[in-house]
Amino acid sequence: MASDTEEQALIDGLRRRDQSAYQKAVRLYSGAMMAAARSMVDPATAEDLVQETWLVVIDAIDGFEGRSALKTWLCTIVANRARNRLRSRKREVLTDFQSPLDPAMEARFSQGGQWSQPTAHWGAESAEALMENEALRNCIDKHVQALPESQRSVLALRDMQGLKSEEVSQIVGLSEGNVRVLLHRARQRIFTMIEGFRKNGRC
Amino acid sequence: MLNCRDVTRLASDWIDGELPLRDRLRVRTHLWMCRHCRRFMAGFEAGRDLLRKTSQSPVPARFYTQLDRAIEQQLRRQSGPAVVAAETFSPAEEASNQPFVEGVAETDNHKVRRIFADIEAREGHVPNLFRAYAHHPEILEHNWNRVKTLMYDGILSLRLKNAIAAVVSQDNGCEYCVVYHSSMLQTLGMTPRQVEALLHQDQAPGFAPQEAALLQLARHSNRDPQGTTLALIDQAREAGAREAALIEALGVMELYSSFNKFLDTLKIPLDVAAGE
Repeated sequence: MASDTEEQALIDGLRRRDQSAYQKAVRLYSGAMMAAARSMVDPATAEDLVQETWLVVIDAIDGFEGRSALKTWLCTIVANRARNRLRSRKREVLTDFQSPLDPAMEARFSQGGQWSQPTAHWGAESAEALMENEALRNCIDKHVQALPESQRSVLALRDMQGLKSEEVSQIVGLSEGNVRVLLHRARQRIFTMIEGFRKNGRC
Repeated sequence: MLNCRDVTRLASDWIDGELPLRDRLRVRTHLWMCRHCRRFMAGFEAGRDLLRKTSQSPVPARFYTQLDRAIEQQLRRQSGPAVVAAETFSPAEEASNQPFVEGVAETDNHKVRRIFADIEAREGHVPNLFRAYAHHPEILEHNWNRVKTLMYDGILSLRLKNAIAAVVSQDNGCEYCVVYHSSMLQTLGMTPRQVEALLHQDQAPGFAPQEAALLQLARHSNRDPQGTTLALIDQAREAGAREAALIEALGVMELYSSFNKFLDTLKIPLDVAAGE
C-alpha cells in the first residue's frame, strides 16, 4: 500500500488532472474497486462500473476531503454505484448471521464442544512455500469464486486487498459485527479446502 | 472456561489481534493446554496468510489500456472550454450522497417494462429520472409521454428545445439536467463555447431570430413568470412564431422546470451514460 506521502503526491497529481497520475492510480486501486463492485454485481458489470467510476473521479477528486484513505473513498463510490444498479434485484439473504461457524466446521465438534475430527499437524510449511504450488493457488481461486457473494467480497477486501474492518464495513454497507462473521465464515471455508488439498491433493 | 468450539469461533479475531483483553487471555490459556486447537490455529493463520498473498482474479491488461484511453479523452475534453463549470457538476458528493429515493432497476411490472424499452430505444438507456418515476407507473407513463410529445414530436427544432431545457435547468440550478442537455446540444452540433455562451451569457448562438426569441421567452417565464411582458411575446410573434410554437416553447420550459425540482428534491444522481 502507498505510504501517506506517496498517496498525497498521487492525490495532488489527480487534482492537477495529470494523466500519468491517473495511469498509476488506476493500476494501484482498480483491483480493490473491482472487489468492492463484485460484492454486488457480476464480473462484467463490475468492470464497467470501475471504468465509469474512474471517469467520474476526474471531476470528483476536487471534492475528496481525505477523511478516508483514497482507496476506501474509491471503493465506496464504486460500491454505491453498484448498489444503485441492483437496487431492486433480489439480494442474497443473509440468514444464519448469528453463527460464526461454518456448518462443515461445526460438525467437527462433539456436543460438549471438543474436537471430534481435529486438524492434522500443519507442519512448518510457510505461506510462501504453499504459494509455490500452482494447483493449490488455482484451487483457492476456485473456492473463493464459489463463496456466497457477501463472504467473497468481505474476504477479498479484507485479506486480499488488505483493508481494515471498519473500511470494509463502510464499503459493503454492513455492520462491523456482520463483516467479522462473514470474514470468519469465508476463512473457514478456505481453510477446510486447503486442509483437504494437503491431505489428498485434490481440489 | 472456553471449549474448543468457542476457540474456533474466535479464531479470526485472535489471529487478527482484534480480541478484547479478557477473551485474549482465555484463548491463550486454552491454546496452552490444547494441542488440537494449537494445530487448528496454526493452519488457520497460514490459510489467512496465503489469502493475503493472493490477488483476486487479476485485472486483465486490456482493462487498463481501455481505461487509459477513456481517461485521456476525458482529460482532453476538460482542458477545452468547459461545457459545464466544474463547480456546477460535483459528483464528488456521490461518495456520501445516496438519492433519497432509489430508482427502479428491474421490475416485473409490464407497463414499466414496456415504457423502459421505449425509453431505451430512443435514448439509448433509461435515465435515473425515469427509474425514479417508475415507482408510480402511471406517472412514469404520463411524464414519458410528455417528453415524447414535446421533444420527439412537435414543431420546434430539437436543438432549440434542448437549449430551452438547458437554460431552464441552469437557472434552476439542476446539475443533472444541465449536464444532460449540454451534452445533447453538443451532439446536435453546438460547440462547447456556444453552449457556454448560452448557459452563462444569456446568448442564443447559432439560432435563428424566431428561435432566439422563443428561447428568451421560455427562459424569462421560468425565472419570472409574473414579470413576463406582452413585448416579449410579440417579439417572438414578429419573428414568425405562431401560437402553437409559443405554447410548445413554454411546454418545454414547464416540463424541465418540473423535472429539475423533482430531481433536486430526491438528489437523484446523473447516470454516467447521460454525460457521454
